Amino acid sequence: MELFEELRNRLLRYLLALGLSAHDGEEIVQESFLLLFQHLRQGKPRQNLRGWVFRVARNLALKQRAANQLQLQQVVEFDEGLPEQHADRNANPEEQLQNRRRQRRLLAVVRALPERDQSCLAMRAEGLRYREIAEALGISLGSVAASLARSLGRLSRADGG
Amino acid sequence: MKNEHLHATDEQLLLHSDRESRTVLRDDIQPHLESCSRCRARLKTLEATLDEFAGAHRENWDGELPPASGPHSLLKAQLAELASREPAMRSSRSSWIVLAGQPRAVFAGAAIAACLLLAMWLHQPANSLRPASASLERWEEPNLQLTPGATVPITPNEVCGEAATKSAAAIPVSLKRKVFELYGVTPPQPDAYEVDYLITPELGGATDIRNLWPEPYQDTVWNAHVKDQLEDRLHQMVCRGDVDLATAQRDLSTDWIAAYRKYFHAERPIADGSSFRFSPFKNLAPRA
Repeated sequence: MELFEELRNRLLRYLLALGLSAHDGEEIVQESFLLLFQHLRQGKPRQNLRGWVFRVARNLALKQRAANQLQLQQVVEFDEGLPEQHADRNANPEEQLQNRRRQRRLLAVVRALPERDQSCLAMRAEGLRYREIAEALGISLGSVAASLARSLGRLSRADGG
Repeated sequence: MKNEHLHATDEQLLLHSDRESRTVLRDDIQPHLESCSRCRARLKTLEATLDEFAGAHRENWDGELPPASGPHSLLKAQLAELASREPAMRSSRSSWIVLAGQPRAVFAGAAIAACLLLAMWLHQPANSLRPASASLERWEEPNLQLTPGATVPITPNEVCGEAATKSAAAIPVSLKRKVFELYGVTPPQPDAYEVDYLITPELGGATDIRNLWPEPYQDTVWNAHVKDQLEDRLHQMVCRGDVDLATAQRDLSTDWIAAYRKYFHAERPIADGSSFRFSPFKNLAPRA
């Protein structure tokens, strides 16, 4: 349950970023941890469990997403605006507006990336180490770094106009 | 970086920042970084961009995260359920948990985990998990830890207008089975219980295990037929503007029996619940 407490919000944010609804995301988080329980009961490797959980959740999410493209569209449409309540309280209104625009631009650039690059970025944003991301996506450490470098290049170019 | 006149690539810098450069690269790039201000600046830019994206990502989705307490309890209950099924699964050599052939330490670990989970299960509060022999009366109201209620976004037109849901979509059989299992009603007893929505779909309730529980059809005062009556009443009141949608959802999910008493001004169902199923508005108490 400690791992659940540590990872639940991180997983859920990642699944939302993949285009799932909160409802589907919650189901997948539950399913992932039940599978983890079975994985451990079968005496399978305990290394890199965070990467393992993200991998299982991602696989379930991609299946769910493929089965429900309509839901994906709805979530992406919702994502067009950033919630007001998350504005930086220390910034003045003009700065807040600029920050929101900048964040929206960043997120829009990321949404246009291939799914694997989006996943790398989102998992990195959720605090996973590169070896955990590599485990989750079934790729090498070098591929994780290459993906992030490619995505950061896109983000920098977009930021520079 | 053997040649200090060359600069590190972004990949190398990123691996270095995640303390993985020694794993992937033949040499650590730290010595190069110490002498190359351009690479240090580039690394700083990359890290700043990553951090900025991480902040935007979290802020964008944090508002969407439902509270964790319900899912936490649900997972705990499901784990306990899995653990309690351990002996049967071992004997049946279920395809997804085959413990035979595993080292003895694994058996010991699984047994300890099962005991711990079972202990957690047995020490739940009185209104929490109940064993498989739960009587019908016990589920007049759901266990709110298992069934806190869940909603989907719904517009006023979908509640009351032309797009209003005329009848709820069928709950998948697999989901009903899960609900029965969660409440310890095994084997499922669809003739005795209705797997019912806590918050009705007509008022935005989700087809979600957190919004479903096995509600007795009969043999209890507060049964599924009585709840149907309340749902019809609340739907009507929401569409008349007497009650706002959020209040109706909250009242249903908090304590539907209290909600019945509140909206019908009656301590008990005003007639036999089963009689309301097909004529929901005939015998309503006067409006407040």
